[in-house]
Amino acid sequence: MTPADGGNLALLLAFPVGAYALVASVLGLRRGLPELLLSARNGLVAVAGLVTLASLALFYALLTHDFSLRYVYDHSSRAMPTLARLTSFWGGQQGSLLLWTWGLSLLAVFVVVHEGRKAREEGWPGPFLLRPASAPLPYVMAVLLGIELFFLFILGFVASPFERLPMVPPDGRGLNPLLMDPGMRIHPPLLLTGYMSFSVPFAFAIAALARGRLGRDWLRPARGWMLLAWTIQGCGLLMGAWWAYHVLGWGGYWGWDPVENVALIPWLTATAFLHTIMVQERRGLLKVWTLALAVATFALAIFGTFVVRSGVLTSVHSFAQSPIGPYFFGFLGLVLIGSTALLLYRLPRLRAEGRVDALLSRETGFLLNNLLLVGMAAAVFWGTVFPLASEAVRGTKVAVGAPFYQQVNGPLLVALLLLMGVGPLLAWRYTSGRNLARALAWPAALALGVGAVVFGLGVERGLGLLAAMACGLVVGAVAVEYYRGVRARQRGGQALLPALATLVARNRRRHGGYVVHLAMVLIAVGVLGSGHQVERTLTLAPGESAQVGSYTLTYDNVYDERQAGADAAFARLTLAGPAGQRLAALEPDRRVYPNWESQPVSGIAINTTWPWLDDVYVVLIEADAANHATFHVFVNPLVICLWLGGWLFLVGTLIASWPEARPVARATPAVLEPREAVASEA
Amino acid sequence: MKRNFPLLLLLVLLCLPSAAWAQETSAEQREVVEIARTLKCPVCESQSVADSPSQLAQEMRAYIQRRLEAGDSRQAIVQALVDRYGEGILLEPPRAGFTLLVWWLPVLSLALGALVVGLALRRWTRTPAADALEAAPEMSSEELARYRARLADELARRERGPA
Repeated sequence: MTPADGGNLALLLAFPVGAYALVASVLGLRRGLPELLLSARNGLVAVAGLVTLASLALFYALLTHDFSLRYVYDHSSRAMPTLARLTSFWGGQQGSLLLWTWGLSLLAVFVVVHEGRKAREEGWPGPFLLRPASAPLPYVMAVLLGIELFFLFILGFVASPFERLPMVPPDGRGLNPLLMDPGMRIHPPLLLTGYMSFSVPFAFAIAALARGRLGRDWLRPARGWMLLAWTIQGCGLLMGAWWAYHVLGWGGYWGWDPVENVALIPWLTATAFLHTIMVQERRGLLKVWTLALAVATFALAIFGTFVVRSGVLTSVHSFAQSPIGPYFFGFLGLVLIGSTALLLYRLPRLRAEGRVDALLSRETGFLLNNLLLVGMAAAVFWGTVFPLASEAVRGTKVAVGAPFYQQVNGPLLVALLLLMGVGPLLAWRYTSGRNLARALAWPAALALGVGAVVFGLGVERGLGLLAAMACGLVVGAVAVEYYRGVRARQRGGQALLPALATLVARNRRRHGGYVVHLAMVLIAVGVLGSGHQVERTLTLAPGESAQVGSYTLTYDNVYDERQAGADAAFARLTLAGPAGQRLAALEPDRRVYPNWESQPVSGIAINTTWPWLDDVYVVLIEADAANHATFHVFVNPLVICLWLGGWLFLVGTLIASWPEARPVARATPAVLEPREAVASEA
Repeated sequence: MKRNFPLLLLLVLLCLPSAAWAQETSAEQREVVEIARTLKCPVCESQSVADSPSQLAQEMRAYIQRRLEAGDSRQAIVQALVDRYGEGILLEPPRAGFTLLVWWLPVLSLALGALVVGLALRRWTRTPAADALEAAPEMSSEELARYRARLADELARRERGPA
């Protein structure tokens, strides 16, 4: 038996084990049998172990060139370097689905372990599954097992990564060279992990519905897990933009490609969820809506997972013919119908506890926020599936591209930025017009200042100008919030920095949120700046110079080199600034991989100029025998802000999700040890 | 003044002139790119004619430039390309006929959403139920001052912490 056989067997075994665990958890719940619940938990762990074995077997097959497997044959070759062969794991559909399932099975175990640790820290004696506060956990386990089962079914019986070829070919077809970039080692797994993690908040929502406990209890864990999924997905999206910018060579970072769109949509609805959940926590309002968002986000994540590696959105036919298509749509239907039925069944328990007291209040701000975010998600979804609708209805294909999304989402994005500037200054329940005006004075002044400066720079189009001013408003609003908080503490006798530190530490969620708002401003600045792209195609002889924007590029020479299994040509250029000062040496290259001759890969040279913050972005198109070289050159203003914004986004989410200290557990360490022993025994 | 330093710094940063904005590309070249941006490269997965490095996209860009130089209108050029490669190359779906749907549906759904939110807010804010805010007995300023003092006191004690 080869390791691949073992992997296949593990994958096939995982299905009945998962099915047993699911039945055990449901029976255990209905009959109130703790032993069955514990057995279900063990089943959950066993599934994770089996899927891990299967994944390791696939890695092994890729590393050892086991071309008897169709998947290995289709997505790797002998010429590929080792690290690149590991990325082949998620280079195709079956591997991507396996990674998804592997991730979910591990995350499910982590959810259970996390709950167990909390129980131990609280000093709960005995199996934590029986702790009253852990009561939702068996339901969560059952939902997660249900999702895992669906994927295990697909992997085992419909799209197996361990499918054999009738005979063993000598070499594989290799991976698309664009996918061999180091960025590809991180970006697809991040997105798949993001998609997969949306299952956990969904599971908590379903658990709350099933138990009928729809108060504030379920919100805390759901929010935490949603924040995690949202962060991962956000980082995945940013990584994707970074990869497109640094590898694809068309001078942009976001192409409104269907695969990008379907990853963005659940992130948008998750953003709406993370905001609306505050309204429910504070005021007991919007309960149905919050649940609906958790369900919709999960359904959209499943949709995205399905679309991401199947190319089904290119035409109706590939959509209908994809072997996994019907199953995915069946599963999606089941999720949506089941959740809706449960929601309707529990409707009597989902009455709002209060009401919105005044139009000018934080609650209204959140409602508008949700309207805009869900509106954007709907517009992107509609634009993405419209070509299919058109083909199905009329038989003609249409393209829906960047111009559509920019025109539809542009105004919504600006409105969202404006709201981001006003919302945090609104008080819960009721804000008087005068208070709001007073709070808005400084941010508005900043917005006007930014507007004047940007106008002076020559941005005269209404929407761009408004967006820049909205950015000023957000920064101003966050600054005012911090200023108020710090000053209140300074009055209490604290110095500036300690005051700031305690302010943030006292309310991490809120201040982490503000940092994320600032990150969004940075990203918006990058998006707005890149709209002022300058583009030129140059053909130069060695020693010749050309002007692009206010920069001068001098082409020095070109040389050939064999590198990492590819024939590469490197060009050397010198970049000079507006005053003729030398800024940097640039070395774009062009590589041709064996088997992929028709698809040469560009190594792009990017230099961010200081202090202008323009990216000078050079792509080598070709170099002829006489050493004349053709370049595609872009000057992209402010794109660096996108990546800085990405890092700030990560910092903000870390602040918001950093676990609160648990004073109880710290106070009594000595008492805990024997109890720990009891808990681990159970 | 000192307090406003970060704001000033930000303003100064925002004032840094971006070198790219100062320059001029020829109006014609810009128009070529503008037109090419609205067209899908027929042989690519999902790239515009402006972005695609493919041979066909290069030829299409050159074609657009030639026709512009010959004085043809933007519409005529786009129409000629659509006649050749089909309606599917229009990245911006035409605002007529069936594709009007793709433009109007987001607008309609947003309007519908706004209507729902508006109605909900109206219903909520107009419910005659005894308003908690109004029902709360007014506190005298004296009482309020006492509470504020206590709050500051307890905050300070919390800050020092139980260690």
